[in-house]
Amino acid sequence: MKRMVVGLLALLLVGTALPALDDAKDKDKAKEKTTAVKPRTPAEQYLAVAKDFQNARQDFRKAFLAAKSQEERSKIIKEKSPNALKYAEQMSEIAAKNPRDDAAVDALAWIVTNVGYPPPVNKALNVLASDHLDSKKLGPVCLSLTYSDSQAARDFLRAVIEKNPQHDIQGQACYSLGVLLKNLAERQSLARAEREKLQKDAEGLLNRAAEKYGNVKLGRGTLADRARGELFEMHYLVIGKTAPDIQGQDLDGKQFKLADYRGRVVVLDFWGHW
Amino acid sequence: MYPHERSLVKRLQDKPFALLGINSDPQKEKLKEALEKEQITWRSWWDRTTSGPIATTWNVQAWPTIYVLDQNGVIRAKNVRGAAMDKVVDDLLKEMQESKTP
Repeated sequence: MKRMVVGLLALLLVGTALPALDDAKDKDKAKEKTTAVKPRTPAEQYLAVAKDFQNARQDFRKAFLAAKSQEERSKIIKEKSPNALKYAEQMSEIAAKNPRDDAAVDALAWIVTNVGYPPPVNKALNVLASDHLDSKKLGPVCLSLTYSDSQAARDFLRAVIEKNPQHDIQGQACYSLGVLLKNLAERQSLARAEREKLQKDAEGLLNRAAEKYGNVKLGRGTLADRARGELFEMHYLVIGKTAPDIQGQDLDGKQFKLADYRGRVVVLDFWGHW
Repeated sequence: MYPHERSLVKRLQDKPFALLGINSDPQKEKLKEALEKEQITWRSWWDRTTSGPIATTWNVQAWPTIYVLDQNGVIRAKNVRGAAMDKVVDDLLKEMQESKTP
C-alpha cells in the first residue's frame, strides 16, 4: 500500500512539474509579447528544474528496481538515467540571467551538490566565488567538497573562509578545506614532500576549525567534535602509521583482536549491508 | 563489493592474508541472512551501528571504508577498491616474501 501511495505521489509530481517546464521554455516569448502572463520568479524557475530532476531520478529508480534481468537494467540505465548535465545547463542559465537574485545561489549550489562531472561544478564554484561570497546559503556547498580534487574547490573554500561574513559558514569552509586536503594527502601517487605539505596545511585548518569555530553545529555534533575526529585520523590512521588495535566480538559473539593477525597482510573493511 | 571480496579471499586462501570486516548493521538476524545469501565467509567485528565504538575511534564517516595493513600492522593504503586493492595486497605479499628470502 505504501508503495502505491508513493507511486501516485510521483505521478502527481510529474503532472505538475511538466507544465512548469513548458512554462520556462515559453517564458522568453511571453516577455517579448508583454502579455498579461506573469513571468515566473527566478526562485520558481529554480524549484521547477530541481523538481523535474528529482522526478526523473525517481522514475529511473523505480524502473531500475522493477527490472527483472541484467539486460533490462542495462537498458534502463541507458535510456532512463537522468542526465544531470542537462539540468546543470538550465540551472546555470537561471543563475546567469538573475545574478542579483538569491535563486542564483540556489541554482549554482544545486550544480555543485548534484553534478558529479567537474567542468560544470568548477564553473559554478568560480561564479559563486566571484559573485556570491557573502551568501548565507554556502554551508552545504562547502561541506559537499571534501572529496573534490579540483583547484576551483580549494580556491572557493579559501575565499569563503576569508570573505563570508557568517561565523558558522566560515567554520564549515575551514573544516571542509581541512578534510579536503587531508583526503588529497592520502592519494597513492604522491611524493613524500607533497604529502607532508598537504598534511600540515590540513592540520592547521582542522585545528582552527576546532578552536575558532568549535561551537558551530554540524550534524549531530559540533565542528570541534568532527575536526578532532579528523585530527585523530591524521595522527594515528594515516599511511605509514601502525594501526591501533581492534578488540571486540565477532558476529557469533566470540572475542577476537586485530593483533592476532600480525604476520599477515590485512584488508580492513568497514561495511554494512544496507 | 561482495563479488570482488569473495574472489580476493578465494584467490589468496593459501597466502598470509586476511580480509576482516567491521560491521555496523544494527539488526543481527538480517545480517546473518545476508552472510548466507552473499556467501560472506570472512570474519567481522560487530560494531552494532554506524556510531559504534570501532567506527567512532577510526573516524569512519563513509561506508565502505577500506584500510590495507602490512604484516606488521602498518597502514599502507586507504580506500582502495577493485583492481587497485588487488595490486596493493599483491605488492605487500610480494614484499613479505622478498624480505624472507635474502
